[in-house]
Order: sequence, then C-alpha cells, then structure tokens
Amino acid sequence: MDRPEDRLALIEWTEADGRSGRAIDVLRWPVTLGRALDNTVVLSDPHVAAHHARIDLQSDGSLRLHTLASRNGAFVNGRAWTADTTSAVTGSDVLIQLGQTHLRLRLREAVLAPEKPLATRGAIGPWALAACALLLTALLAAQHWIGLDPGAEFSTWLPLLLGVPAVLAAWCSAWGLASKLFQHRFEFWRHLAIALPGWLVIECVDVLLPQLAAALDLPLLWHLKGPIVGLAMAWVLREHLCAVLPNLARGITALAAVLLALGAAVGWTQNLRQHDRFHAAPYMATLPPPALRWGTPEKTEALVLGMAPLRGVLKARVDQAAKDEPEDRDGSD
Amino acid sequence: MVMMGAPLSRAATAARAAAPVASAPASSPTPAPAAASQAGSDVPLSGTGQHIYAQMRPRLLQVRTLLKTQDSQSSVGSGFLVTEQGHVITNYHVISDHALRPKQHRLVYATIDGQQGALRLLAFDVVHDLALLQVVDAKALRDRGAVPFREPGQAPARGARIYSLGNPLDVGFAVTEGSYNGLVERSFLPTLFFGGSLSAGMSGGPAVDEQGRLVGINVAARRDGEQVSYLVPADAARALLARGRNATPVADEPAHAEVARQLLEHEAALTQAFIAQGWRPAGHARYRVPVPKESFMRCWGQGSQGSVRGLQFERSDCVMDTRIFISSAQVTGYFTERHETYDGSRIGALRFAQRHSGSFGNEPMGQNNRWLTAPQCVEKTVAAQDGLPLRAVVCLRAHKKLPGLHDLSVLVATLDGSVAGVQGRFDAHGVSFESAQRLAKHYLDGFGWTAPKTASH
Repeated sequence: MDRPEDRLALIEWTEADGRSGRAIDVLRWPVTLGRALDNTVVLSDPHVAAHHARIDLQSDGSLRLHTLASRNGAFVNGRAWTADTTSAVTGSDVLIQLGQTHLRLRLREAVLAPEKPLATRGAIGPWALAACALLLTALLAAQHWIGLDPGAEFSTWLPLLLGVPAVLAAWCSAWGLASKLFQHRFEFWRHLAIALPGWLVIECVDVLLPQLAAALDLPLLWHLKGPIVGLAMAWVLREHLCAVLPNLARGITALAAVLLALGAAVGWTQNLRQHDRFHAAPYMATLPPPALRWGTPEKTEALVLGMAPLRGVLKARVDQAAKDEPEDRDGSD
Repeated sequence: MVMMGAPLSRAATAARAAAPVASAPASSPTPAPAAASQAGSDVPLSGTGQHIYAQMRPRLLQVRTLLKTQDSQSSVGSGFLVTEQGHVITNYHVISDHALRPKQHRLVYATIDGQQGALRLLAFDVVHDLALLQVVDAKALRDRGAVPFREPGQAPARGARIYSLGNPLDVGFAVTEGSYNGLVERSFLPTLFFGGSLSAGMSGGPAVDEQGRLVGINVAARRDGEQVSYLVPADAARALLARGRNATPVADEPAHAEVARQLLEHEAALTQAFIAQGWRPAGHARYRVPVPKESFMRCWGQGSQGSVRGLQFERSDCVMDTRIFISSAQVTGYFTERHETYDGSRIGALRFAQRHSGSFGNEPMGQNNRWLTAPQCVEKTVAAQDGLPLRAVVCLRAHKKLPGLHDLSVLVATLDGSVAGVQGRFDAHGVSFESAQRLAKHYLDGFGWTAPKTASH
C-alpha cells in the first residue's frame, strides 16, 4: 500500500480462531463479492454465487450490504441473511460469512480496541512457579521417605526423582502441543504454571486433609477428600483447556462442571448401591499421632449407645431388601 | 491354616473328573481329596464290618435334593431310618436348599437296592446340622427296621471301633471303619472326633458301634489332615426325633424364620458363655489386649517377617472351629478375634504414624450383597476404663433373610503411643442386636494399659 490515506476499509480472510490471513484494501465503493472474476473481491469458494453480495456507500455516508441472488445467503455478525437483503453495516469489525469463506470488514472510522497483553507467561510468575515446584518436591519426597523403611536403597528414590519431572514434562508438552495446534504457540510454561500449582493443591489436600480431619475427629471432613480432589482436578482441566481455546472459556467451564457432576453422580450411585452411603470407606482410616489428637475421648459406653440408631436403619434396609427381592423369586438366578 | 471341617454333602468334581453325578459346586474351598474314597477299600474290613453292613444295608438311604424344574440334583447326602414309620435322619446341610427354597427343590431318597421315593421335611436343628425327614409313602420302606440309638449319655470307650456308613461321592454305599476319639477339643458345640475317613456324600449317614447302635451322624471332615472327621453326637438326633417325629411337615414356605430363631438361641448361649469366660492377657508389656480364652477358640500367632529395619509387629488370630452352616453361600454363628501389636521404635514417630494409619485403614467391612446389608458404622475416640485413648469403629450388618441376626465388627486402635500401638478386631457372626452391643462393650473393656501410665507416653 503506497498511500495508506486512500484506504477506505480492509477486507480480511479470517480463520476459525480469529486470526486473519489474506487481506484486500478497499480503495473505493461499491465493493462486490462473488466467484466471478468481475467482482472486486473474488472468492473461489464453490458455495459462493457468481455475484453474491455488494457493499455500497449511501449518500448519507453510511454503508449498506446487499445480498444478491444466491442459494446460501450470508451470515453477517453471526446472523443469517437470506438472499436479497439489504441492511446497514456498522460497528468496528463486521464479520461476513459467504459460503465457507469468513471475512472481516474493518472500517477506517471504527474505534480500535485497546492492545491486549501477551498471555504466554501464565497465571503466576517464575518465582511463584519455582516455589510451587520446591514445595511439591518436598511434599512428595517427604511422603516417599515416610513410606520407606530406614536405610532403604538409593534406587528406591529413582522413580520419584525421574518420574515426577518426566510426568510433568510429558503432561505440559501434551498441552503445549494442543496450544500449538490452536494458538500457534507451544505454551509449555503457561501449562506448567497450571499443572504445578494444581498438583500441589491436590497433593496438599491428599496429605494434609486426612491428618487434619483425624486431629479434629471429623470423619465427615475426612470423607470430603475425594470430592475436593475431584474438584481440583476439574479446575486444572478447565485451566488447561481455557489456555488452549480461550474463546470457548464459558463452554469449557460448563464442560468441566458437567464432567465433575457426572463423575460425582456415577461414584455416588455406585457407593450408595454397594455401601449404602456416599463414600466408599466405611470409617475414617487415619489415626492422629498423640501430639495431634485435639479432641477429648468419650467413654466406651457412648460408642455402644451410639450403636442404637443403627438398629432402625438396618431394619429398614432389611425390609427394603425383602421388598426388592420377594421370597418366591428367590433362586431364580 | 485353620479350617473348619468341610461339609460332606457335595462331591468336589474338580478332584474327580469322572464323577459328573454329584456335581453341585463344592460348598467349601477345600476340595475332597481324590483318594478319599479309597480309604474304605484300603483298610480291610473286619468281620464285624461285614456284619454291620449287612445289618444296616436296608436302613441306609441316599438323600437327594433335586431342582424341581429339571430334576437334576443340587445336593446329595446320606440318611438312615430311625423309626418303623419312615423317619429319616440326615444333615441339615444336605437338605438346606429344600428348607430355604422349597418352591425350587424337592427331596427324594434312594435305597441301596434301588427303591426310590419322595421325602418331606418334618424338623431340623440348624445348630447341630441335623434334619428329620419322613418318607412320604410310609408303606414303601416298612419292614426295613430302624437304626437303634445307644443309651443316652453312654459314650463308647475311647479307641473303640466304630463304623461310618454312607454313599461317598455318589459312588455307591460304603462302610468306613474308624475309631471313636471322644469329643473334639475346644469346640463350642459337642462334636465327636471320628478317626476315619469321611468323604463328600456321606453326610447324614450313621456312625454306629459294633452292635450297630447309633453313635453319631457323619457331618464333616478336615481336609488339611488325614482321617480327622467329625460326627454330630447321637443325643442331638435323639432330641430332634423326640421333638419332631409327630410334627406336621414343614410347609412349602422358606424356613428362614425358624433358622433365625434357632441361630438366635445359639448365639445367646454363645455370647453368654463368651462374656462369662473373660479375656486372657496377651502378654504385652505396655498394653492390656483382649484375647479370648481358648476354651472354644484357637489362637495362632505370627511375628513380623519383613525387614528388621521396619515396623516390628506380632499378630494373633483367634477363630472358632464351630460354625453353623446356613446355605452353601453362608456360614455363621461364630466369633473371631485378631490383634496386632506394633513396635515402631526402629522407624520413628512419623513413619510409625503412617504405618499405624495404613494398617487401621485396610480392614474390609464388606458391602451390600444378597444376604447381608452394607455395614452401618459408628466411630469415636474413646477412653478405656483406665484412660487409654482408643480409636474405635463398630460396624453392623443385618442378615437380609434371617430376621434379627447381625454381623458385628469392632475395630480398635490405641492412640497413646508415638512409636507403639495395638490394633484389634473382633467379629461376631450371626448375633442379635443386644448381643452385638454387649460384645462390643466387652471387647472395648478388654483394652487398657498393663500399668497406669500418663497419656503423654
């Protein structure tokens, strides 16, 4: 373009992710669009008519888009226009779809949106990321150390030393490839900034919550570990997906919520059928160390008396079972 | 390691490829040894044996439980005539399918000479594993005589020859010679120890002395030993006959309620005796741990086999030999106790805490199935009578078909030690709710310190 001041508008071919490809300067009105070579903008798209649309400048200075005789009509800013429709086009960017071709019409008078910052760094900075890595390593190493008997072979540490970085690298690389596919950037660090804190949170819940529940003598809190970990995993998944497809953030959130709800429903149904309760574990399995036992023990009689309500509950289950499987159908299997 | 005797009504086809007849699936994990039926032929029968066989021959029956729809046998055992009116004694476990699902199963007998006919159930004693049947067409087996009982309370001398009869593995009627060895030790229910071979299919057959008088009824054999077999004492059969000979036949309704009633009677006596005998000390330096006295339980110990650098533990397993057969899928009416003592001084407090919790957490409590509800549990941190802090879990499951019966599990862990602890588990199978509460309390009260200590360590 030798003389930018002559440019009245710009027509760009856009991709599904919003990026623009080829562009044509508009130097005078009207502009015609179609497959025939006598159009101003020639669209070699078999789903476009020979003369598909025309953009005219009105006497009052406004622009009007006419769809001409065509089988497929057009989509203007996402709305379907049938053939032979005329309407004003306004706004900063006008998105026009003719056949399978996506175009963006940018007008000279349009107000520009402010510059967006680059989002390659991710949610947290490098120092926070390093701190997360350190904490996670410490937590995993402590767990591993506790699981080993004193004087264990050095080789028992290898799975941890090699496995954790390998798993993280593989996970983030896979997401990075997905980013490359949709965002044209291999965003390894951005995904690491999601995966690392996510894993840390999950690990903290996994290790610390049972201890806390045992110390406070709160079995209900103990049984919440599973749902909380599930929630954290859904959140991590959502963050990764949003980084890959930022335009679909709302859909991804809904998807993560649906997956979470589905997982919970399946798990709870299964548990209710097999164990007659929402959680599979029949009791709080973690024992508090003497220093962390904060509750006051009750008398043994309290526990024995606490059995009393079970009688009615069990009776109800037996009655229900008798209803579900009447005696005469017994042995049909 | 410890196993109850395997009931004898069903042949294990796994061990005998050529025996398609007695083909019900084995009711016990221990298959009958392939050579079991040889015992009768290996040992040359004495002249008395021939005499006994000739005398008993007309009174012996094979008792078959048949599926009504296809006339295939679901269970085969033996039985014998005890009156001239066609009363037959056999094991409850031979006819349990009929007792519990009478609409699906019917009972028939076959004599040695090939006569066949229908049987009906008059009464049963599920605790002693006995059933009283009657030949439907009483005329059919008249003039065959009856097996006489020994005088009540007069046991044969120890070491006396006795003869067990029955139809092992549905192969054919046999007489097995063995010795009378008195009562099985440490059995809650009186059970006779027969020093001879019993095989599947001989269940319910008579064991008689040299005069042909009833000593006991074949019921089970130990598969982990040789010639260790069990008989139900004849007195139990005598009592059942007295109670049931004029009874109206059990209607075509499942007998679950009656089974449950008998089991509740049994568990009441067992609970009473168990609590009355108290606990014996486990010999731990720091903790008082409840271990059952071995009057009707057997305990087995085991030390840590893992690394010497790891957690050191000792384990004790106490089980009852007496178990009550309800159906091929269910045995009940017994208690077990198990505990482990831990010494974590070599691994330190952090690692000990993890091992202690890990061990506490891997106790299965069962899940919902056809016979039992899912466990309902209560858990609390409690203080034993002397203040020892304990984490205790009590889980109860109810028997779906046997009204009033529950399975109790009590799980206990000590919380006072940072590098030492004890975990115990007590299970009572087939007890009433009240007994479950009493037993739970009894077990919890068995824990404490050997000498008063402060809770800090």
